Formats: sequence, C-alpha cells, structure tokens
Amino acid sequence: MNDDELDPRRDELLLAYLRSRSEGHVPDALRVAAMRPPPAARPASRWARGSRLVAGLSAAATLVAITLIVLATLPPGLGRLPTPQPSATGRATSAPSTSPAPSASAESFPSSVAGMPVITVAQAVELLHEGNLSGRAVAVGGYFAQYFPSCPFAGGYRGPFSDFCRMVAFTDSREASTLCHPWGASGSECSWAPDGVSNLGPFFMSETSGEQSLSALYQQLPVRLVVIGHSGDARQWQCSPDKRGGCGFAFVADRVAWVDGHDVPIGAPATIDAMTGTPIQPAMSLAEVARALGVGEELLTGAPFQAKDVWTIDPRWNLVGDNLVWFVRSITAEESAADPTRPEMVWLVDDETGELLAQHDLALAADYGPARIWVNALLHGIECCPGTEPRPYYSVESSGALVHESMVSGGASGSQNVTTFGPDTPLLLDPGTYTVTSWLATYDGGVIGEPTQECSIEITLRALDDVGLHADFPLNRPCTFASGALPSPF
Amino acid sequence: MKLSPARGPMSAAVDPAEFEALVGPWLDEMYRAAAAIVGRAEAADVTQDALLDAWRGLQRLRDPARIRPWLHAIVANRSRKQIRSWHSRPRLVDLSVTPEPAADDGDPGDLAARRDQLDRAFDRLSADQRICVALRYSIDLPVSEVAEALGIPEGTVKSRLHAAVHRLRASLVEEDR
Repeated sequence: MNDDELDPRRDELLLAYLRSRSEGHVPDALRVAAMRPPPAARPASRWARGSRLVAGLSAAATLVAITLIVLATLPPGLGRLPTPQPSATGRATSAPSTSPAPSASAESFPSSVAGMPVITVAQAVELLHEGNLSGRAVAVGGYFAQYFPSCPFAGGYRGPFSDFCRMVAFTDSREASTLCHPWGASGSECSWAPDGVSNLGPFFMSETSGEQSLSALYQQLPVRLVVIGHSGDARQWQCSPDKRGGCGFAFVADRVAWVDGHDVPIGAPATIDAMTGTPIQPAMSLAEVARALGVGEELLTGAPFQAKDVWTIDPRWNLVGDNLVWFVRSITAEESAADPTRPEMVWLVDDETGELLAQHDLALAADYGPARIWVNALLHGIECCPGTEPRPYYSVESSGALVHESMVSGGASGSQNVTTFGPDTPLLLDPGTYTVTSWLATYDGGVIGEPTQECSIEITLRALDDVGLHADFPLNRPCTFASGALPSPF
Repeated sequence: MKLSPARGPMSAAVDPAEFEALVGPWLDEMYRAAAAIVGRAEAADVTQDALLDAWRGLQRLRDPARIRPWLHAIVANRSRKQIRSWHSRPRLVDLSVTPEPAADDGDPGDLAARRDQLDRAFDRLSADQRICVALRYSIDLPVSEVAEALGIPEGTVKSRLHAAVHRLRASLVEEDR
C-alpha cells in the first residue's frame, strides 16, 4: 500500500468519506451577495466599508449559527421557542427623569412587565450614569437591533462585556436603531447608531432568559423590546484592568420580557458544560426551582450550570465539581412607587436536592476588592494550533482544598514549534495563600486524558492584586511556573 | 503571534463584472473546499471571508489563468483562521443529515459509527494536514496543484498527506478491532 496516496480499491471507505465532506453547493444567498460587490466610492462608516459586502449574509449566517447552537444545546423538552402571548400596551413615562419621552408616533410598549414599570431607554441611561442601576433591575422598553459583522481575529483578551464584532442599538426610536439599510440588489450596509442618541445595548449572557425569542426575529430588526437588566455586574472584575470601570456600566440582560407586542415567558436558557460543550440536562425545572425558593413573579431568570462553571456567571463563587446547580436571579419587593428599579438577589440551588446552597445581593459589597490571577501556558514543540493534542489545565488549592479547576483557554496562537494558550478570564480570589498547579492532558471528543508534565507554584495574594501566571511546558518535560506581569496582549 | 491584520477599505479599482467573471465559476469549489476543511456548518462563513479577501486582493493576482490555486490558497488561509478560532468559541456543527461514507450494503449503525470514527480522526488532524487532505481527496487537486495553492514544495504536501492518511487509516483499523 502506498503510504502517501489513497488506493481507490483498498481505501474505498476513506475516499468516499473524504469526498462526502465536500458535497453540497454554495448557498444561494452567498452566491448572490458575493457577486454584487459595492462601489468603493459610496460614503459609509469605517465599519460599513469593511463589512458592506457581507452585511446581510453575515447576519443571516450568524442567525443560522446562533440557531444551530441553540438547537444543538437545548435540553429535551425545551426545543421550542416560547409561545408569544398578547399583552397590554401603554408605557410608563413618569419617574425618574425629565428626559424627553419617545415621540408620540412611536409604536406602543407595555406600561409594566413582571410588576415593574417600563421606562424609556433615555431614562434608563440616566439612571445608569447616576449609578442607580448597580445591582438593581430595571425594565426598559426600546427599539433593538444588533448585527455581527465579519471580524478579524481579536488578538487578545476581550472580557465578558465587549462590543468587539457586535454592532448594537437599543434606543427610543426605530430610525436610530435601524443599523442596516438595503444596498443594491441584495446587499445591505450597516453602521453604528447615530452619536448623541441614548443607546443602551444590552449584553445577553448565558443566563439571560428569553433571548432565544429574538433569534427568530433577526430578519425583522429593529424590534420593539422590553428587557429587564442591571449594571454593576460582578463580571466587571473579569474585564482587563483598563476596562473594568467601563464594564461596571455594562447593561446586562436578566430577562427578555416582551418582544413586538408579545410577552416572553420566563424560561431556562439552554446551557452547556463549558469544558466539553455537552448540553446541561437538569433534574429540576425552573418552575420547581422557583417553588423551592418561594419566588413567584419576582423571578427574573434561572439556568442550570455545572458547579465548576458558576464562576463564569458570578465570579464571587468559586465552586468545583460537575454536579448541577441552578443560578437564579430575582427582584425584591418594591421599595418606592417612584423608583422604577428593584434590588436583585442571586441564588444557588442544588439541582439534585432543591436545597438552597448560597445567596447574596447582586450588588457588590462596597469593600469588594478581590485579587485576580491570569493564567496562560506556553507549549513548546507543538505546532499551532492543536486539535486534540495535549492542552493545558490548571487548578487552585487553598490549605489543601480545591478551589478551582479549569482548562487554560482563551484561544491559542503561535507558530510551528510553539503554542500559547490564554490569557482568558481571570480567576477572582480572596486574599490569601494558594497553590496553583498546571498540567497537560489530551482532549478528545470531550474526554480529558491523564495529566502529564505537571508543575505547581505557591502564591500569596493581597486584595486587588493582578498577577499573571505563566506555565511553560518544554517538550516532554514537567512545566515550570513563573508569576509576574499580566500576559499580553490585552 | 499570528494575528490577522484589521480590515481596511475595499479596493476601489476592482470591476465587479471582472470579479464575477473571474471568481464566479469557482465559487462552488471554494465552498466545497471550505466544507471539506472546516465542515459544512462553517463553510459559508469561511467562503464569505475568502471572497472578501479575494475582492480586496484581486489586483495582486498576476496571472488570471492561475485563479484556481490562488482562490484555494485564500480558502486555505481563511480555514486555518477558522480552525484556530475553535479554541476560543463554541464550534458549530452541521445538524443536517450526513451522507453515508459508502453506498454499500452494510449495517446503517455500523456506517454511522464509521463516519463518526472518521470525523473524530479528521478532527485530530492538524490544520495543515486537513487542508492538504481536503484539497487532494475532497476536491481532487493533483499534488502539484495543492503545492502551488499552498505555496509549499510537493514533498511537504506528500509528507502531510502521508501523516494524515496514516492517522485516518489507523482510525478505521481501531474501529475494526
């Protein structure tokens, strides 16, 4: 048998497989859009110039991609989008500010959702800038659109609240939120919302309830949307040092509550094991979890995660193990009829027993100041970027107790003989002394192999420390650790 | 670091009709090559990015007769970047029905298992190996044209094919045990 070439007789199966990988035809949308490149002379924004050719197509592809991910990760029984329910219309324009209400010609919004008054985007932006949304929920109605242009490799850590590769508008006017306009026969051209317009682009996170109701509407943007959200999210501490302040003002969506005239029921979003991508299939339903907590209409969202992944949702909780826990947010009782915001609570519930494991306010304590470690790993002798070759992992122990364990992720870059993993999301730790261990293990089809080339370092952290931990893996020898400056680039 | 340059404005001097005439006939093949390398779920994205690169770089194509390897080189580069991105975001999977690898009379369960085994083995190939195998056996380019597209010696193509074929064959042997 010729080792370099496939033999049509002996390798029939393999040849058929390889040919089948390329079966199919280019989608019609791609064919049409690609063959209608625009004239370069047409004035457009910087973003629009770079992405005009692919605008409509990219949005469609993104929609398909999002849909694929959602469908691929929905637990059994949750495969359908929530059934929209007609709702009352009207809109609160009272508290808290003197900002102008949207024009009278605007289509209507509900006056309240989940027992909370619906305020305008301009009002919410004012509350945000005054710091009044930190850890507090507010229901905001506006016109929403977002578009994901085709983007270059980010080239560094972006953090949880980044608008890299996302154009988003959530404003008080349909016109201002219309990001993309038809161009030519089949293309479109997209640009940011105009300067000077109150824009509160919400961040939809893995725990956000009801976001999937939007995915079916991406061809009809902008849509009227009421979203309940907050700022001052603890994940601001996962932003790079120079961006943390801005991240504190990120408007994080707890729940999509109403879309284009229809209520969106609360539902548990589909979640996955962050390490393997396996869909999470909890034993309890969100309704059962809410009953266990005694939470009714105050419920904002709830989603199941593996305990080891909770830190990616609320970095104040470092848990280990792959047992399932429910991460739940709710609002507390109304404090003042004039205040449209409500304090939020966060709960952790054991999926197996329904037991309340932990709870705290969503708002950060005034003296909250964790230390942060940023781990990256350098693998020598491995051509970038490996598929299932060994990948780096790390764990953190305190007084012999395991505090954290995860893959060093954040992307890989490098050359033929060296690959760098990370930096990725920093781990937040209380001041103290910790042992950090790193190792390599194969990763094949979601199965993690035996650890090899392990090494450890002991570190003592003070409040607000930012420590970079660099694990260096020579070929086939144990790694060495070094601590010091933050990994780059940021 | 292998970082992609930020995108700049498109070339002003490319005639859309010329672009369509040159690239249009190869669009299906570009898409099929992308599908073979990164999978159908992400092939449209890769093809779209490759087309944008082609549009911007068309003036650098010196010999229009060599458009085919030139386009394959662009698809290969874009596919390589796509594969790299799998480490930092969820990877898309194609949920459509996958054709069976061979139209023999084998048990459908066995065929699905073999397909799965081959998928896993293919996923274990390095990006360069995937590209070589896809261009050679999925698109049926001769080794010389694969080498031209990738800008590497034929010997390098052969060595990558050798390693990849060895791995793929081994996966079938493992399955048979």
